[in-house]
Amino acid sequence: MIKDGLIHEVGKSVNIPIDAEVIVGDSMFVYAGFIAAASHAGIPTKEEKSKGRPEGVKVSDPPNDIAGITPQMSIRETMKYNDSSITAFRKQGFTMAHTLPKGRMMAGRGSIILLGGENEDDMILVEDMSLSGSLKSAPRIYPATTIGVLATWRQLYRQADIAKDHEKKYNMAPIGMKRPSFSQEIKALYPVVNKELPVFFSSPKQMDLHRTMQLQKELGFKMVAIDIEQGWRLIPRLKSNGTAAILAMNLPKGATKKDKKKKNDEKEEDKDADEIKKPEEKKEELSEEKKTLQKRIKSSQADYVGQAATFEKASVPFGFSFTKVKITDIKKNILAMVEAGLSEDAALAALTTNPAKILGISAVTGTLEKGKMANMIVSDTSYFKEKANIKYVFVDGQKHEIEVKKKSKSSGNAAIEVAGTWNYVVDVPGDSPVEGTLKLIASEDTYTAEISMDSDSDIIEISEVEVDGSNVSFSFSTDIDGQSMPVSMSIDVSDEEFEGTVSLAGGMMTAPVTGSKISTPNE
Amino acid sequence: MANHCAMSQDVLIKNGTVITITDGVKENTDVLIQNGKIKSIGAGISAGDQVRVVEAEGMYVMPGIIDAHSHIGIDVVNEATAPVTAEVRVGDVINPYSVSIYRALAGGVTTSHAMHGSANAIGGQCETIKHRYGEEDPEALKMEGAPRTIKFALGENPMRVHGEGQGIQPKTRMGIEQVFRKAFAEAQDYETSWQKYNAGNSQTAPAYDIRKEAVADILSGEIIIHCHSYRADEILMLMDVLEDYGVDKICFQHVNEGFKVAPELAAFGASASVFADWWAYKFEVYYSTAYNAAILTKNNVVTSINSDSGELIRHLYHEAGKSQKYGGLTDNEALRLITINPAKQLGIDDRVGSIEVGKEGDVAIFSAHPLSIYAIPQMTIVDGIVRFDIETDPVDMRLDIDPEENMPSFYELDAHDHHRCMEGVFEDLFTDQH
Repeated sequence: MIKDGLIHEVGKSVNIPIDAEVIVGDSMFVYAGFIAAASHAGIPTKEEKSKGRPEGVKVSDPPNDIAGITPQMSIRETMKYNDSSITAFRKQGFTMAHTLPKGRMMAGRGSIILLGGENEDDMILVEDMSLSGSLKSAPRIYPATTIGVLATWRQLYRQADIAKDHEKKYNMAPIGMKRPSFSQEIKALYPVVNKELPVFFSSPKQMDLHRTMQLQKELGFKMVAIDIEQGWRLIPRLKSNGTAAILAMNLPKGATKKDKKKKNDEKEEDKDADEIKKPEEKKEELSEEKKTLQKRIKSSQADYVGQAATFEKASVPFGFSFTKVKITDIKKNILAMVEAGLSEDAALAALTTNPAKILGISAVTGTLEKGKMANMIVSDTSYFKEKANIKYVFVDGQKHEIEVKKKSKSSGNAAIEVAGTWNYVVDVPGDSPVEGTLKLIASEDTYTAEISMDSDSDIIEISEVEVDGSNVSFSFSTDIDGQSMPVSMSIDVSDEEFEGTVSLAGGMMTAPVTGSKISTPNE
Repeated sequence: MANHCAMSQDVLIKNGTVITITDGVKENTDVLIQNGKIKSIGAGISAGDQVRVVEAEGMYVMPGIIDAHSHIGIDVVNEATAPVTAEVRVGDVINPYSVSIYRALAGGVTTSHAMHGSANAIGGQCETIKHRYGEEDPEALKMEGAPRTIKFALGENPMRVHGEGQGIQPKTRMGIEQVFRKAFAEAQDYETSWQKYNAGNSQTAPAYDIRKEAVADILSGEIIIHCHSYRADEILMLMDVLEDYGVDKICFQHVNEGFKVAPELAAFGASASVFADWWAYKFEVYYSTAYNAAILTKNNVVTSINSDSGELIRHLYHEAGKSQKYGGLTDNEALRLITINPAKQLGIDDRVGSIEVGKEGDVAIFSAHPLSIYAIPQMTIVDGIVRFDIETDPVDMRLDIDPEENMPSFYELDAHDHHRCMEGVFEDLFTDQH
C-alpha cells in the first residue's frame, strides 16, 4: 500500500482505504525497483563530432576541460529530466540510478537520481556524492595515453593535497603569507584527498582494474571499482582491499549468441573456398587449428558471461553498471548471466540491496519494506522468464504504466528493413575514403551479403550475416597489398541509411562507415 | 605450463657445458639453483629428491640473455604530446599476458628493459622486467630493486614529432640541446625551492610539479639515462650537456656512429647498446657499420647488442655472433654483449648477467654453442623456474584471450613484433591531420 510516495503497508491483509486506486496483481510479481549502481541515465547523448585531435589547442598543455579534467562538474549541469534514457531505464524496471557525468579521466561528480519527475531538481535524491574517474586518455593531446593519465592523477592529487594545506594555513594566519592560487579543478579534489568523496573508477579490463587499484593503493583515496568486465581474477585483491565491485552489464559482442554449430562448419567451408591457392592438406590443418582457436574464444566469452556467477560463488556482493550497455540488451544479458550460473537471488540483490548499500541509501530504498520509498516493479510473471512483461513501475510512489509493444519476429518484416543494395563510404583515418557497394540478401531465415569496392571489380561473397534488430554485422577476408586481411563490419540500419564501424585485422585499425540505400530487393 | 606456485624454485642442471661469462667455460659441470639463486657450480652436485633435475649433457648452459632495449610486455610506448615527459612511467602499464614475453623466453632472454619510445627528447621512465611468464600480477614482472632508468632521444624522431608535427622546439639538433638545458635548469630551480621549504626557510610549499621532480632525480644521479641516438655530433653534444650538470650515468642506445667517438664515450664512462647490423632506414642512420659493436668493445666502451623488436629478441645470440665475423670478437667478448654488459648498463650486474654463486638463477640452455648458427634454445629458467621448455611448448601459449577477437590469420603481422620506438606517433607524421 503506497501513500505519499512511501510504502505504507506490506502484508497479506492490509486495510485498503476507500479512496485508494487498486491494481489487481493476481499471479503478478512485485519487486523492489531496480537501482543502477553506475550509469549515465538522464545525460543526453552528444554526438562526438571528430574523433581526432581538437583544433587550435596547445597539444602539450591543453585546457583542463578538453584534457578531461573537470572534477568540479556536476551532472545537474547537463542532465535533462525528459531524456529518453530515463524512460528507457524505467521500462526495464529501474527506479533509481547513480548517474555519473560523461567525460574522461575526471569527468565530474555523480548524483543519485530518481527515474521519474517533472524537472531535474525533482529527481535528485543525493547530490554530488561521488567523483567519476577513468583511465580514458585525451585525443592526441596531453595526456594521450594511460601513462599520461596516471601521471596526471598523481600530479593533481598531490597538488590538491598541498593546496588544501596552504588554504588552511592561510585562513588561520594570512599575514605575510603568499595567497593560495585558485583553481576550481583542484578545489573540487579536496574532498577526494580528504577521503570523503569516493572515486567511482571505471575499470573495464583486468589490467584497467589492476591499474586503478594500484593508483588507489599509492594515493589512498576511497574507491569503488565500476564497469568491471574482466575482474574475476582480481577477486582476492578486491576482497582484501575492501573495494566495492560494480560489474559491467555489457557483455562481449557475440558472447550471448546461441552456439550455431552447423553454421560454424559452413563458415569454414566457405573460408576454404576463398583460399583457392592453399593445397588440400593445409586446408584440413587450418580447419583444425581454427577450430581450436575458436574454442578458446568461446571459452573466453563464457568466462565473461560467467563473471557475475564467479563473484557470487566467491561471496563478493556486487552491483551493476550500465554506462556502456544498450538499455534494451539489459534483460537479455541478465538472463545470459543466470544461465551461466548466477542465482536469481544474487541477480536481484545486484539490482537492489547491494547498490543501495554501496550508494549509502539502504535506509530509504532497495527493499519492499514499510516506510521505505515506494519504488517498485509489477511484472506479469517472474522477471527471470524471457517472456515476462513489466506492467507498472512506481517511482517515488508515482505510477508509470508500461506499454508492451508486440515485437514481430517474423523474418519477413525484418527483411524489408535491411535487405537491399547499399552504397557505403568508409572514412579511413589518414587516407582517402573507400567507397563501394554492399548488397544484403535475405533468404528464409538467414542473411547473406555481397560487397565490393568501387576501385575493384571483385565481389566478395559473405555467407554469414548476423542481423539483430537493426544491427547488421559480418566479416570477410580481403586482399590488401597481397596479404589476406580479415575485415569485420558492424552497422546500425535505419530506413534508407546506416552507420557503423569497419574493423581491420582484429581491431588493429577501425574506421567509421556510412551508407545509403540504392534499391530494395525485387522478390 | 610449469607450476608457478612460488616466485622461485629449485632446479639442478646436470652435465652441461657451462659458459659462466666471468669465470670461463666449464665442461661436464652442474649448476644448482636453490630458492631462485645459484647455490653451487661444479661437477657431481647432488640435491634432494624434491629438486627438479634437468639433463644438459651435450648442451650449453649460459646466463639468461638480457635485452637492454625492448618494448615488449607494455601496453603503451609513447606519450608523444610534449618534448619532455619525464613524469610518465611505462612500469604503470606492464601487461603480463603479452605473448611476446613467452617468445622472448623461447629465444633465451630472461630480462628485458621495457622502454618508453623515442618520440620525445626527454621521454618517460622505463622498467627492467624479468620474463616471469605465467605470473598474472603485473607487479610480479618488475625486477624489484633494479635502478630507475629513463628514455632520452636525440635526432630525427623528436624533431619530427614536435618540430615538424607541432612547430615547437625542438625543430633542430640545436633545439634538442636547449630542451635538455632548459629542463635541467628548471629542475635545479625546482629542487632548490623545495629544499628551502623543507629546511623551514619558506612558509608555503612551492608548486608541485611531477615532471620537474623526475628531471631533478636525473640530476641527482638516481636515474640512469638511456639515450636513443645515432650521430656522432649529437652524442658529443649530450655528453657536454651532462658534464655541465654533473650527470654521468648514461647508456647511449643504437648509437650507430658510436665507432666515430668510441674514445670519447669511454673517457666519459658512457656505455653503448647497439644493433648488430641494422642501418640506413633513416637519413641519420646512414653512416654505420657492422663493426660498430667490435670497435666500441676494443675501445673499452661497455657495449651490448639489443633488439628493439619482439622478433629480433628471439635470436639475440645470433646477433651477438655477428660480431665475430665483423670485428673478430672472441666467444667471451661476443657473449658479454648479451649478458654481463647489458646487465651493467641496467645497473643489475650484481644480480644477473653471469653464472656465479649468489647470482639469480636465470639460465638459458642451448642445443649447441649459442654463437653457432645451429643453436636452438632448449630451456629458459628465470629465478629457478622453468619458464620455457621446448619439450612442453604448446601451440597456443596465450594466457588471456580477447572474447571479441576475430579469428587471427596466421599471416598477419603481430603489431608487437616490429620496432615500436615510434608507436603512437605515426598519424602525426604521415597525415596532415594534426
